[in-house]
Amino acid sequence: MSQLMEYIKIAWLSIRNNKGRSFLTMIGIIIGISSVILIVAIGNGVKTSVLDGINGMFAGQLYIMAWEESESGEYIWFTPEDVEAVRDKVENVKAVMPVASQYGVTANWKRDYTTWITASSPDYMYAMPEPILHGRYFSWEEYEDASPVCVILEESAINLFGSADVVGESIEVTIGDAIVDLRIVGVRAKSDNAVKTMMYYYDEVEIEMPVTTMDNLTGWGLGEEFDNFLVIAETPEHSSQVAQDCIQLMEARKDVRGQQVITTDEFASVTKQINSIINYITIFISLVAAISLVVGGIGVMNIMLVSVTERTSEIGIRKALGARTGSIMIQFLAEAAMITLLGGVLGMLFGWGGAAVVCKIASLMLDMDIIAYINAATVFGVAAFSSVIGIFFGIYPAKKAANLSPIEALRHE
Amino acid sequence: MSQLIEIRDMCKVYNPGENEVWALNHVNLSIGENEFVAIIGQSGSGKSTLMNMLGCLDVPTAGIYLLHGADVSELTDDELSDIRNKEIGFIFQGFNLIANLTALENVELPLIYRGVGKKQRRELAEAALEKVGLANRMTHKPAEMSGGQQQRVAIARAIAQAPPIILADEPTGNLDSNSSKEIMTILKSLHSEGRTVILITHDSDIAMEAKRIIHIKDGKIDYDEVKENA
Repeated sequence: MSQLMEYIKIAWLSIRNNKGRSFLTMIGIIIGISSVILIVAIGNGVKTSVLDGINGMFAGQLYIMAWEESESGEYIWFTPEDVEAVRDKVENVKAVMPVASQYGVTANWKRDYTTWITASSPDYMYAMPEPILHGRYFSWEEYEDASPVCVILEESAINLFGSADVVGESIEVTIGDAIVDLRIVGVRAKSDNAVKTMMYYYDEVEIEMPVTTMDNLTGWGLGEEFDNFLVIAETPEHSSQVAQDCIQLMEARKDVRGQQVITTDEFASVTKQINSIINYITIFISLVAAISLVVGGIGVMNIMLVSVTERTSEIGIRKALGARTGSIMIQFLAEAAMITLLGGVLGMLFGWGGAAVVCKIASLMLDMDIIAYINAATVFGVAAFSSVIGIFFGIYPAKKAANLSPIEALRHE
Repeated sequence: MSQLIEIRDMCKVYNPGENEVWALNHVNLSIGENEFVAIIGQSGSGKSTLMNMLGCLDVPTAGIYLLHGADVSELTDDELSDIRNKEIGFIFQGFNLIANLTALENVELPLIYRGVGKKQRRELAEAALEKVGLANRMTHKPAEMSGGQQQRVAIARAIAQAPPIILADEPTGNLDSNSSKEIMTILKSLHSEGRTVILITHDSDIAMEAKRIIHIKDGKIDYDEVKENA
C-alpha cells in the first residue's frame, strides 16, 4: 500500500514536470466532463425550480372528468349532489367544486375590457395559491342566494380603478346576453410564482364569482350539470388516493363501474413529463460527451506513449534497481488515471461554474430562482469514470513501458 | 573461499542463424565473496554482455549462472528484478540518476521497490549519502551537482540496500581525474567493508586498482590474473 502511494507520487511528479503538456492532454476529458456536468447542473436547477413552481400552483389539485360516452351511449353529467357526495364520503379532501369559465366584457367610463370569468363555489378560494389581499372571498350564503358579487384580481383592479383596494366598488359586466352590476367583495393578490407568471396569460380583467349567480343571469346551468369538477386534496401526497376514491364513488353513483369513462388528470403527471424531457436531454448530451471522452482518452494514450519513449532510460534505471513489470505498469497507469481524474475534476468545476453563470443569467432574465447544482453521487461517479478512462487508455502504453528490456532501456540515451 | 558467483560454459549469441555474433563464447568464471575484480576488455570484446549477465539484466543463450549456488539463468523477468534489487548494486558510466528526483529520492528508489517502509527508507538513504560525503546535498537534483557528486549519489543508491555485489560499469568513464580518484577510493572502501566489487572498464590504469583482473577478448576470457602485491 505504501508502495502504491509512491507510484502515485512518482506519477504526480511527472505530471507536474510536464504541466503544459498534461493540461493539453486533459482538454478532451475536460470538454467531455464539463459538458455533461453543465447540462446536468442546469437540468437539476430548472427541474427543481419549475417543479416547485408547478407544485406551488397546482399542489394536490386534480380534475374528475367524464368526457367519454358510457356503454349505454350516453354522456355522463355531474351535479352539485355528486360534489357534495365527494365532500362527505372521500377522505383527505380539502375542497371540491365545479368550475366554469367564460369570457365576458367589463365596461367603465373609459372603455370595454375583455374579462375572464371563473364561476365556481366558495371552495374555489383554495384553487389559487394567491391570498385574498383586501376584503374576503364570497360566502356560501351569497353562493346559495346567487348574489351579484365577485372577487377581482389585483392587476385587474389596478387596470380598472387605478388602485388595488376596490372592495365595495361595483363593475358592470356583460355575460352572454345579460348585463349585471357585480359588487366587489374581495381582491386576490398578484402571483409571485415566476413559473405561473411565465406560463399564464392574464386577461385585462379577471374575476371569480358564484356559478349560481352566473346561471341565474344566463340560464346556462353550468353549476347544475357539468362534465368535470375540481378536487383539492389535503396534501399533494394524498392526491392519488383521492383521485382513486373519487373515480370509484362516481362510477358507483353513475352506474358505470369498470367502463373507464370517468377519468382523472392529476397535475403530478405534468411533473413526470418535465422530468422525462430533462432526462432525455441529459442522455443525449451524455452520448455526445462520451464521444469526446473517447477522443480525449485516445489523446491520453498518445501522450502516454510519447512519455514512455521519452522516459525509456528512466524505465531502464528503475528496472535495473529492481522494479518489477507490475511496478512500472502501475506507475504509468497511475499517471494516466491521474491525468484523466484531474481532467474530470477540472471539467466538473468548469461545468458547474458555467451552469451557475447560465442559471444566474436565466434567473435574472426570467425573474426566477434557478440554482445550478450537482449531487454527491454525480461527483463521485464522474471522478470514478474519468479515472477508469485513464486506466483503460493507459493500459497499452503502460504495458509497453513495463515490457521494455532493462538493457535496451539502459542503452537508450 | 565460497563461490558467490559461478558461471559455467556461458554463451550469448546475438542474431542466431545468419550473422551470428557470439558475444560470450563458452565462458567459465567464478568470483568469491569479498573479491575486488576488474573485468577489462576493448569495446566489442563482450565485457558489456558479461556485465549484463552478471547483473541479471539479461539471460544467457546457453550455460549456467549460479548466484549463491542457485541457478538464475532460467528465472522470469520479475524474479530477476527481485535478485537485482537484493543482491546487486549498480554503478553506471552515465550515473543514470532520475533527473526530476532529488539525491535522497534517487537513493530511496531501490528501497521503494524492496518495500521498505517510509521512515526506515529515509534513514537508510541518508546513511548511504553520508557515507559518500553528500550529507549536505540530499535535496539537490542531479542537474545541480557535479559529475563526481552525481556518481557518488549513484554509489549511495547502489549501497543503500546493502547488496553483497557492487557492479560498476565504467564508473569513472565520464569523470575528471580528481573525481575518478574519489570514486575509486570509495569503491576500495566498499571492498574493504566486505563487499564484492566488480569493476568493468577498458582502462588498464583503473583496472590496476583491483586485486584480480580478468581480460576479455572476442567473447572469451583471455587471461585471469590475481595480483599478489596489491
